[in-house]
Amino acid sequence: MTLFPRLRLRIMLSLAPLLVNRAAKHSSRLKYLLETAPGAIQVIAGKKPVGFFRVEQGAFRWKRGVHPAPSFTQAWKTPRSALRVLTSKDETDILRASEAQELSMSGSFLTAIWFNEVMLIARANPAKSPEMIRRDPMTGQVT
Amino acid sequence: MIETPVLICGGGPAGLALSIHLSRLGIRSMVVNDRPKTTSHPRLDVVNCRSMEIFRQLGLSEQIRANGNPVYANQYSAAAASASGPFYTVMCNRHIIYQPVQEANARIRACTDGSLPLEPMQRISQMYLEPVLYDHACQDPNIDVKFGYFLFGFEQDQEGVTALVRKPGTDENFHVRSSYLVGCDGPHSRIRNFLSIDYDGTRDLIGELFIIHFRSREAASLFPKGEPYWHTAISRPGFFGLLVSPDASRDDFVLHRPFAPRPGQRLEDIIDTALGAKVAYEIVQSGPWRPQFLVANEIGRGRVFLAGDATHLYMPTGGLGMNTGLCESHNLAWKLAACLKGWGGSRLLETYQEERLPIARRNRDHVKKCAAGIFEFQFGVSPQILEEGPAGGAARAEAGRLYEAKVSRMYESLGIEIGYRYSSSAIFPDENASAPYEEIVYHPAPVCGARLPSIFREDGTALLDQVALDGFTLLALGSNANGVDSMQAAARNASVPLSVLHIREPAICRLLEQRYVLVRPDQHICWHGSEIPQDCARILNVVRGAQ
Repeated sequence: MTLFPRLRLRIMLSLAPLLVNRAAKHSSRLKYLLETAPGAIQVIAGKKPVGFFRVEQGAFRWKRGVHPAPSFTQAWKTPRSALRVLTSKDETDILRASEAQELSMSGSFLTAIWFNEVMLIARANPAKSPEMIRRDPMTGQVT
Repeated sequence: MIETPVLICGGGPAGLALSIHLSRLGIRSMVVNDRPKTTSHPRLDVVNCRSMEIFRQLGLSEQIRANGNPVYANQYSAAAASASGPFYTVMCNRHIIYQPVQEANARIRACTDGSLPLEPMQRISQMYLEPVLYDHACQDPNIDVKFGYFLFGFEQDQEGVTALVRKPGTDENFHVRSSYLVGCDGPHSRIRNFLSIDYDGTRDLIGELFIIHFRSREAASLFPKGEPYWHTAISRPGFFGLLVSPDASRDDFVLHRPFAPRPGQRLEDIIDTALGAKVAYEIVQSGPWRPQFLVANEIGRGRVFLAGDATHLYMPTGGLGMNTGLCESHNLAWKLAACLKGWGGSRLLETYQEERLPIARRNRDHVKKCAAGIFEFQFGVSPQILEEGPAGGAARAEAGRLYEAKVSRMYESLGIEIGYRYSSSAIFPDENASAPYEEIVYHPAPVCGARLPSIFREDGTALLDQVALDGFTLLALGSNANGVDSMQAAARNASVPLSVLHIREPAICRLLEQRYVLVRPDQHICWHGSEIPQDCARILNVVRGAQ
């Protein structure tokens, strides 16, 4: 029953580097983040390791198995809950899962913030992201 | 057309403090603010040590203390399963920060090595801080306070800035001509947008959090002596939150949650869980908010400058939002005044960005580490924590230890608060200043760019109180420091206000190391030396931004 969600989870996570490395070609911030990467991010589901993210020579990588010294670890109760939360459009689901004890986290949360920024930039739609509004200084009209 | 030397857009703490500071320097200003009244949200809950030193310099510290947490009341931070306990730890004695103001003041008075601030921090919410500044500004004839008006647009030229100010929902509008415009208009700063300056970070790194402001007379009874702790981090299986009492003498409480309630979930249930007891309360307001870690790419252009949340937007972990903004206003005020009075050099205002932008970025990194510490504490709480017996006891002890290890940096970082150092073309390079300085521990260092360490003179006067607000102060230390005449003559020639302070006390001479120390109006050291050089006009030209 849990095999299929585990496989789906693994496939989904293994696709993340494609997204990140492609976006890094167009984002200097993302490039900088990859250059200053902290340690590995381990993902565990149902008490079994799924794999880990790490940066090698400036490229974001996914590898199956266990990292010997991850900087940050996400341990999901089940692969199904991991899939549900990680594909959710509600950004608060991850902290809700943590409070509900479906997810336990350990290690450096700075690494988690780093990872979140990497994924936010990788998924960003540049047409929507800038908050900046350009206005004519005297009329206030958006130009 | 109304004329004013400085137009300030935004009447929050940074804008109002700037206007008051300018007035102290004899400069008129107009403060324009969209909101017709000061904020009704608690928002910030601390004026940190450096900000209190700044308010002391402006003559406002006592009024602010009178409107905040009583001087006898605690400033503790605790970790607990709920406000009713069990408590895993209460941080009360491990640092001066947590001590009631009157106790902290006694320690400060007894300190002889410059390692403490001149003022303790003050627990107070923004909704009670702003009225102090607002009332003060309204009574000041140098300040034209226009709340309920907004800056519609502006343009700048070589000589000044022309702005159009409007009253929302009416035809009332007027033009203002000023020498300078300062945008203290918050995170959605129109001034910053008009200048096409964006923040440099990525938004929404933590997502959406949730805040509930409630009032309760009875909740205080849950704490010893009926005196709520400043912060109570609530962590147990199935519930995270941070309960804030911005002022132990008031009924206001703020409960922070990591996410909004699900549809159908009642706010009352969340509050009851946090308090761990049924007490009466009234919910004032609630809503989601998004913490950020952002710093503007630039904080000034031409005759237009930014300060406060317009330049940086931080998660409140570490309490550096408004407090960084106040330091920005403090840095900018004397430079604007110097330029308006004619003794500020053409490069002086450029140093505002040179000095403050690196500090804004450094503070951002610190705030991020503090946020990470809070989350790491929450994640580390054992599922056994509420169990009776040795396993539960050990889990609670471990939670207390974890809280102190992970979260104490949020409070105890005097290195960040008073240890920051400026580097700019208006500060002499100092090889001793290039070494990295710590975020947590403050080491008083009499180096160029650093704040003058606080120490008391033999007659009990604070040295920082003797630093002139309206010009430079030359400290002449020891009995051999007699060569100040040439510096005074150079200052007179350049019309630079310069006061000379002769200091004989051995403890101060030892602390400041050099025979001569030149201190700016913002209490930062800009030059020091064992001799006054023959060409001391050059020193003054550098520090006033004329070289």
